[in-house]
Amino acid sequence: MALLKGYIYIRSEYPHAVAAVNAAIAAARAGGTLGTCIAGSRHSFDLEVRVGAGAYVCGEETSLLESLEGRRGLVRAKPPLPAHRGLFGKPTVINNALSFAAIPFILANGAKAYADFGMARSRGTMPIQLAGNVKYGGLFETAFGVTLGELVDDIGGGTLTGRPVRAVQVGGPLGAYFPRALFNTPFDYEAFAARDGLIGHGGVVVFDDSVDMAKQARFAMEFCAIESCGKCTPCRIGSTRGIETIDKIRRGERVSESLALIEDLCDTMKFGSLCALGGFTPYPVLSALKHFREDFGPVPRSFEATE
Amino acid sequence: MSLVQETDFGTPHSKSETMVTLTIDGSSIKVPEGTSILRAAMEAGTQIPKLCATDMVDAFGSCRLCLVEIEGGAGTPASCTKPVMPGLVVHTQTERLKKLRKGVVELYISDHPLDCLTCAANGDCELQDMAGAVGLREMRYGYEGENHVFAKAGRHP
Repeated sequence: MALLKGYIYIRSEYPHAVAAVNAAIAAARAGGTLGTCIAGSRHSFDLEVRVGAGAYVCGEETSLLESLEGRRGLVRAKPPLPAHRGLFGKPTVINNALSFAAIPFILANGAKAYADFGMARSRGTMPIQLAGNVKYGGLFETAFGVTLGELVDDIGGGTLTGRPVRAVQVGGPLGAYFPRALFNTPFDYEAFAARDGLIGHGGVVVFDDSVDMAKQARFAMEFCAIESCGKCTPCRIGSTRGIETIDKIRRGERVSESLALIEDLCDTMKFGSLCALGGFTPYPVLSALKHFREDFGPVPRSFEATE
Repeated sequence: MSLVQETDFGTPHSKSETMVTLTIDGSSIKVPEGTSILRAAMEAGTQIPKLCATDMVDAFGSCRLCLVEIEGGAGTPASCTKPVMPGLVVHTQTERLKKLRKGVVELYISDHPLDCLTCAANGDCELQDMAGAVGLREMRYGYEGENHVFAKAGRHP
């Protein structure tokens, strides 16, 4: 009977998680639920923790596999899918720990019980991470369907500073910024996508009215430039050009052309990039431009002949 | 200019004996299973723009020039890494693809010395060929931006 091997890839920035998971694995091995002949059955499975080295792109599944193999975290082209050729070339099941964590509940209570949580096509629960300038931050696991407003105002308690909430970024650093006007959006994959946003890993970062959204848009491009694996052109070069172009807008240089250029660049990055790092960087940038245009400087007046 | 003009099919040929029929730009073509769409198109006479693909080496998928549109699929996959499948309907030239390819080459050119007149590769340059193939006429990012050619060692992006 082949010994199946599993790896849990944890960011180096989470030493508590690394220690906790290692302790859990040790306990499972001691208790006979990991290793050979699990609980007296003929099944064998072992787990190992591998720690990342600070690269955001290594959250992308093929880059993660490269990192696990001890290589530079470059993104692989798909096909072949990891299910066919994954870790060390072998068929690999690769999912977020979040997805695997739902399995014991489903096996114990049945699929219908799990599907009863949530709405539309977003079923089950999500541990939502309330962070940023928020009063009651932390992990809050709830079913899909709760609105963004409920999360930020009712559960999160609004901002820590007490100033009004101006923008909320959902889905991590590559998520779209939502203004208060969109706070009725339910936490649902399709509902967020319909408003040019994304759920991502369920992170919610709150900003008060002191935020400079042009600076945030610039940060999105800067983040992409720093974290880019460098393989594909739209992400590697596009992110740096994005920083330069947003700086031009903020300085008031050739604003109309720069805005049009940013839109074209975001299009190129969204559809041309090899993976979601370059592909999703347009989300924060375009949402900042759409909902918080006033932060990017005065709208240039067109010169019209006057009588 | 090299004396012998060899056709570069983009990706290695497949040794499979099973044949697959698909449609590229309205024409039906039959190629061995495992062939990439890029190679299948080349064999049918359509040269999809490419920079990082060559048939002596496995596909890498990094230049993002060979993007195509496939009916029934959203998005624009790279044809070098996409294997043919029976019944696929592929479009290699659409308005959207034109814009995307122009955008990609514009990024390449923005990060390039632009010394064509004094460059040894002038006239025998794949980047020049691709800039022409995608119809690039202007580079809108300006010339003051960061350039990897002139980047100093040790500088963080």
